[in-house]
Amino acid sequence: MSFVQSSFLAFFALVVVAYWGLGRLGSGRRGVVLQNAWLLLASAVFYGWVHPWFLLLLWGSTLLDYGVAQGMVRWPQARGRLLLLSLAGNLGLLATFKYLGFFTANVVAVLDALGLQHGVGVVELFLPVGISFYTFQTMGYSIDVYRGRVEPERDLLNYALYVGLFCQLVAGPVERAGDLLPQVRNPRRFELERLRSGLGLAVWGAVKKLCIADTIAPFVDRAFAVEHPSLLLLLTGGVAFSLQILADFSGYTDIARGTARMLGFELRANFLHPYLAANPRELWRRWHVSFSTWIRDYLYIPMGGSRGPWWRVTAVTAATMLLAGLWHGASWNFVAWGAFHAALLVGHRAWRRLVPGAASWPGWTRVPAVVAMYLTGCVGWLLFRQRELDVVGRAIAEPAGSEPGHQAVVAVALLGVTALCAAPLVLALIAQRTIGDRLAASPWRLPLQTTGLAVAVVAIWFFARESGNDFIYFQF
Amino acid sequence: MAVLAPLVVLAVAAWALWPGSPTPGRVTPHLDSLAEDCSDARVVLLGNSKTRSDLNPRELEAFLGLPRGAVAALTLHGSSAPAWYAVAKNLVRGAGCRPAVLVAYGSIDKLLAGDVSPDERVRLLAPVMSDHEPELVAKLGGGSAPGGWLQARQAAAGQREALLQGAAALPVGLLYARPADLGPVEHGRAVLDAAWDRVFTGSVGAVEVPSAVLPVQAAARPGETRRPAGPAETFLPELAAEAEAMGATLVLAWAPMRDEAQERATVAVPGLVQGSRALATELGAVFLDLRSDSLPADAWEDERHMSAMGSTRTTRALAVALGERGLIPDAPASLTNAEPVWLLERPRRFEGAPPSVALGRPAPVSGGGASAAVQPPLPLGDQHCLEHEVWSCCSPLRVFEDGQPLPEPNVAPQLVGSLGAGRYTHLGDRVLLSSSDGTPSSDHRYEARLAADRWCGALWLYPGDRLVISGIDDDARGGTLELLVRGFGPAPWPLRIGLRADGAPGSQHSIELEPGVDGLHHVELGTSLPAGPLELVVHSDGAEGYALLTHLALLP
Repeated sequence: MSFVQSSFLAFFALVVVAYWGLGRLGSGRRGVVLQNAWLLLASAVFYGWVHPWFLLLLWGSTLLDYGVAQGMVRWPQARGRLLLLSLAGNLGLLATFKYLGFFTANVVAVLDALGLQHGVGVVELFLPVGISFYTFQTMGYSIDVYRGRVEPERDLLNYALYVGLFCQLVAGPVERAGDLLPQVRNPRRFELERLRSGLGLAVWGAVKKLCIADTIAPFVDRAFAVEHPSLLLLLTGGVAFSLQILADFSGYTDIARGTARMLGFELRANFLHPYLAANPRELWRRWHVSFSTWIRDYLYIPMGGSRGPWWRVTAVTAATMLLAGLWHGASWNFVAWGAFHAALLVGHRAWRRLVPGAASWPGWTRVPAVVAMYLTGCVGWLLFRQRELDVVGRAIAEPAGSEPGHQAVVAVALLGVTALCAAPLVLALIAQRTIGDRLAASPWRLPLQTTGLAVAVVAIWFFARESGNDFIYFQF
Repeated sequence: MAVLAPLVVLAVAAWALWPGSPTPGRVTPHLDSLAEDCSDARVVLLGNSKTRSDLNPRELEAFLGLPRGAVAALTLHGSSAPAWYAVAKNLVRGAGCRPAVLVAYGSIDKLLAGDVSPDERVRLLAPVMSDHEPELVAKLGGGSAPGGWLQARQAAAGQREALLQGAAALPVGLLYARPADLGPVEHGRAVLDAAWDRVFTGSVGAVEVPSAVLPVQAAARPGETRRPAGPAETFLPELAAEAEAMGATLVLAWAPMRDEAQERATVAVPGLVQGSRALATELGAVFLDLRSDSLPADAWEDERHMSAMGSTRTTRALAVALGERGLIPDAPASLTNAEPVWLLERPRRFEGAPPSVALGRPAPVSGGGASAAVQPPLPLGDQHCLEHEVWSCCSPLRVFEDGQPLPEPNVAPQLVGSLGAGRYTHLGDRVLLSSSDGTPSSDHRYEARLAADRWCGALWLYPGDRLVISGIDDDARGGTLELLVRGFGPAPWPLRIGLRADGAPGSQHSIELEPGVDGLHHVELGTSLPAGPLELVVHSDGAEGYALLTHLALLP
């Protein structure tokens, strides 16, 4: 089930009403158990809506890490081996369902290129939605227990809900046990204000997805479907895609956070105006924060982080970003995207060493830095979106297939549509930065909220296409 | 205020976006541009662009011996059975049309479609739905909104696309120099459209096509097995009910497909033909599998659509199938010759009267109520021209029964006997005919003449004919005349061509026509002509030969 299907509206309305109703049936612990059981059931329906067998993998991963954590308590001397078991199990799931096809395809390509006779075939497995997210979440839990940062959860129901809560199951945010498990354990109180705030956030997320991301998506698709694109057209496509993926993924996250808030949970913020970043380091502190902090805490720092000689830091950064790229999908273009960002981070680190006083430069210098970072990031998005890397290579090396003039016209048009679609995000940002605080304290807040809600509903009705696109990050 | 303000917003939006009462009359512009009025139609064709390409209503009228307007095609691009049901209900029965035959023509996946994608629902169903469509609401997957809702969605989609196209075109129009009489958006759109066409030339897989949810289309992959759709899953019961309400017979015609696709569908769906036939029988409809007519490669325009030649053959196959099942109403009494269409937009005239041809006494032919009458050599008949993509229905022979013209020439031969009522056709050296009143043909006196109008998509030139084309441009002096002409006769004979200036004879030329051969001829007209208005004269000089002129052009 997807957040932007009409069936989800009915599903969620039923879940919310029954959830708070169950909370009133029993006080304290009993109420929590009833609510959690209900949410776990609802999450199973949500996740197994199309492919019920996906549940087996989810529950397998859940049970594995639950058992591993309990085992660490019971057999402290085997903690390391148990952690390895968790990593092997979860990474094995990922390797099988996400990377086996990629691996075998490349093996076959190499064998073919060498002209060797072989009986190797490409293995194509269906990628279970959300597997990259929940395996990271369960692995993170086991690592935290191993490090002693989190107490193992004894109650399987609580732990299963921590992993499988439908709001964040299929595309994050990648929650930390230390943040979400206590919320699962403890009683939640119904608050009208939280319900209203969550509803507003979810509707705003739906506007981002349905009115912005899905509106610009056909234009992006067409631009990237050109067989012999010019570099200009590809770069413009990258700009348009930068808007699509932001609206798509942050829209998803807002719906996730909004729905969770309506159920009494607070999930992590995933996006902190990423295109206002002035350098690559800042970008990764603003973009997909739950993931970037995960790879920082569980991958980058354990490998050595920023300690040590420059070559070591460079190698660690490169390895981290290549793996981060590969996490997004089993394809070379994601590896290239990761390498691109690794180069940016290494370059920025060198720049900070070469120009140590840059941090104290006057504030206005941030404007060109933000613009430059945004445009550089769009080059990265171009690699992310265009899966045929040879197309990019040809565009760089050769002139365009059709007259460049025509492709320039298309590029200009694409920018026009991008500007139109970006307008709501820009206006919302300006409003938030200028009058947001005053409005929050104003007596007009409630009428403005309800009117905004009505405008959003009309906008969704107007812009939503009949056959909507899935969220982009569902494929990861 | 917190309640009132959003209500005002919603009310204003509803007022601005809701279309009012949906009426099927709004749909006309959305039907394919060639959609026809069905008020006089005896046969209505339902389908999509494939129907439009594969069947020619005018030729079907001719094959069946029906007057012009007796066959109407109401087709919607990309549509399938649910939309055809809505068309039948609202645009055929709802418009007061009462055809005798309702033909749903399409590939089997479209015929058996029981659902449409959400996009198709808005794009295709909205224009042809009235507000209350319980059948559609009940059957379409996930439920279907009322017509008003779908039309509002369609209107919103139109406005949204216009907004986006405007946003795309405006910067282009502002950046690129434009003519003074065009606004920036208008100009930008023109520039952008041209650019898209160029950019996408040679690109493949440009736009994602929404995946269909049709039972057979999904099964068209090799190795997949599916069962034929049951009646409850298709929209055929609804179509049959509409046909019954109109007093019409529903005909389900499985369209020919290119061989590979055809093979895939039948292999992938075991029992598809039998299942479909049984389904039609259950519904009291007639099932026609037109795929038996194997078509050559040049019968296809692309993967799905037919060329003119393929269309002629498929139309004829449909006519024959309808005739064999006795589905065609009685022929009208009047002649139905089409208006002549001139080769060149110039005034012209013929000299000489059409010759008459003596017919022998008709003798009965087995297998129907047809009789055959032998006629003197006039080599081109329907046996040839029915197979020809340009000259369909073009025998010039006209048959008179007891001095009165028989109503329907050039009917598909298989239908002459089965339908009778004065239908006839010319087959090489004999004329297959039926009497106008159903009595034995031998009780009547028959004679034949060559048609006076001489036009059948090409131009007949009879022995002694003189075709005069006046008002020729002065550019013709020194130009070249290009003719594509086929001769018919016992031996080669000359076609004389001259250019006259102000009535005075100028250059004279002659081309030799080979019997039965299409010849492309070029004639240098020369410059030695006196001043004055020019006339082109084509003189058929053979004593017994005929010529069929299919192309005549002046080259500079």
